Amino acid sequence: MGKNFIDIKDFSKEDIIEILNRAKELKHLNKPKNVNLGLLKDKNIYFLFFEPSTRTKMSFLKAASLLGATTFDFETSKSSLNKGESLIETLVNLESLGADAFIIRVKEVGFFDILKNKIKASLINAGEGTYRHPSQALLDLYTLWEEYDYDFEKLKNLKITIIGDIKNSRVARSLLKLFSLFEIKTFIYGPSTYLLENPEVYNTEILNSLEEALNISDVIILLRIQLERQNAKKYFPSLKTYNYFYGLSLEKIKNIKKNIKIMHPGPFNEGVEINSELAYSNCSLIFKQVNNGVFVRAAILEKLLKI
Amino acid sequence: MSILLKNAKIIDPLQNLKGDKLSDILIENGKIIKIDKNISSFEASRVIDLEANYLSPGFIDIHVHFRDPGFTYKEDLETGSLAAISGGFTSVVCMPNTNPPLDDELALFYINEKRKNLPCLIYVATTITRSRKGEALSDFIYLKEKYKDLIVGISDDGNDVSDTLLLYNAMKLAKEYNLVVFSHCEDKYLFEDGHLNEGKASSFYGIKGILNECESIGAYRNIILALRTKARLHLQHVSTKETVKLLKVFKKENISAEATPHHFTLSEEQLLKDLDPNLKMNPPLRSKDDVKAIKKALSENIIDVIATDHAPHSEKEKNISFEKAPFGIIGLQTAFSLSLKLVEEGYLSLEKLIEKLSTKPSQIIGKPFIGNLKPGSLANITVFNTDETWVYTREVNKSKSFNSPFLGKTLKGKILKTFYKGELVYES
Repeated sequence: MGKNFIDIKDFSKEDIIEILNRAKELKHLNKPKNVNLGLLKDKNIYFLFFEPSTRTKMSFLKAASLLGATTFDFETSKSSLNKGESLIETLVNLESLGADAFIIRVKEVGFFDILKNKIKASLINAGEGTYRHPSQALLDLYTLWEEYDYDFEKLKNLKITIIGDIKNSRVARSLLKLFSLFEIKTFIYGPSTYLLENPEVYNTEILNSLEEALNISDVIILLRIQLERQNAKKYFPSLKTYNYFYGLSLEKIKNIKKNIKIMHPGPFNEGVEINSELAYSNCSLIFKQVNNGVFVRAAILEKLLKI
Repeated sequence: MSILLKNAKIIDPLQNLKGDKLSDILIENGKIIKIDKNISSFEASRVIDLEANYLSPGFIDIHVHFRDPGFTYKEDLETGSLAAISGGFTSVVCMPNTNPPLDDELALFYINEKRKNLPCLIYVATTITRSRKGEALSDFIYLKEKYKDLIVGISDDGNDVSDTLLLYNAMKLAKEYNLVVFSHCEDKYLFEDGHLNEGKASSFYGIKGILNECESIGAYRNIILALRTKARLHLQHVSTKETVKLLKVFKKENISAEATPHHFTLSEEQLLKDLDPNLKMNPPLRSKDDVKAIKKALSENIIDVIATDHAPHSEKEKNISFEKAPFGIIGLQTAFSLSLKLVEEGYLSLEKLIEKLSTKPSQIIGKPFIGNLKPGSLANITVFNTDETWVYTREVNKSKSFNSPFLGKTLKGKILKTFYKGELVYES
């Protein structure tokens, strides 16, 4: 294990198991609210978010505060970046101010690959374009592990299908990589314009219908559909039609015998990927995912920064 | 209700019936029951003697413009249907360039209701892009789900989809949802504002021409996208030898093509004699070499289907300068006679002709219960004579419009009777 968490592959399977176990402990330690464990009290963590974020940023901030680290929020819109300073130069400068870690979200894929050779502080990927979002994948795995009695053997027997715009999803890519590491069978499904040309690079397969997905899956992970993105309407016509063909509702899953679990990295579009009845039903792990994010991210920070 | 049609030379390519001997055909409740040598007249409540004329499955035109809703001064569903059955056609596919276009739910609802009472089977292609504007995907997968029987494919006919990304994704979804992509191949920049063939006609009149490559560049792009996506691609109104060459090289099972009677009957030479706005269509009448290439492509099955691109325009619209006149001519009533010339000239057998007018079109739109005379199929039937001549007068013309260069001409090969779901809907 190195100092960075840019990609799932930066941790071994054993590292990840350790992180999940630690997250479980932290979740119990946090039973009285607003605990400060002081484990990282001498650490400075800089937040640089070049794309809007609610869940991920708040969740990392809360994780840092649980461990007692000092956090700095770099205001990306008001910085020298607008004066022509490159992002990499900015980070080198911030490091000399005593940064121990950078938690970064960027639009461009490939940013971390350049940056990692120039920075000594820890780099934590909080979302990189359409490529990677490893902490989200870890918290989703944690949520499943918790749901299946903290038993990795049970996870191994699961069949998980991700439904949505796989092509543009960093969450999907990180999840597929992580599930593959844990030998969990995955499938993808969605409009043909949203799928991967070569799914085998992620060790996954394309399903042919929603019915098939519902019949074979133990867990279904839905992704947010974003028709406001540029060119989106050249890929799919409308949210209403997405909901009709690919959206899930209690009605659509009522004929499934087994106890299927529904996940969504958020924020979900009510009535598009999922109807609210289902999102708030017993099948849904959506709100557990949000809550678990804090402890998994705290465990990640601790693992990277605690000497 | 049962009808017995006696003494017909029956042609059905799907059953290998070549029309070389006389047989009878029994129809009951709108469906074919059987074909046999001597079916007893007692088996039917009505008997019609066809006097040794030819009988084939009803023709299917997968490219018409019925202008309804929106342009009903040119044509409407009733007059279009009458023109169809008068020409031996019992099924048509209407293109969506109406007003509103056929991606409008109300327009589809209207056609779906109206078609129940028409004397021929109406199918439609909905749009590829919203309102045919070429900017965003139309909601064709939802519309197809809502109007499963009505919609057979998608098309922006009149325009190609210039945005290749948009077309590529449309083809992927068309494949996923089993829709035919009817493709008007055209590079819009090369098209500029041409009016006739770039060649003799444009050189002579000084009117802006339309290059052959305008079609073939579009065709190439659309074909290779279909090879990638495996979508069912149907090239409309192929008019150039270059497109034929492309088809020869690249055609796979998921690709088909049509030619119109005017493109294999007339060339731009006709325009040199007469700058008639009724000789203005898009694609334009091409050179003699192109005409020959199209005929050959039909005989070699590189072009699968004959379709009319029946495009009515009012006399007011057409009786103006060639440059101002809109593109398109009507063709439903002349299609059979013009196509029969290919048989006379030895390009096609009569059986092959029926295949291109009926069997193949039904396969392209995926409707196995039409385009053949198998037991259980719809009793859509065309009865014709290949020797009789007739004059295409204004009185004979059933379309609301008269924009045909063949009006007033004597043509050989006559449609005698048309049956739709077992009912005699047309008789000459």
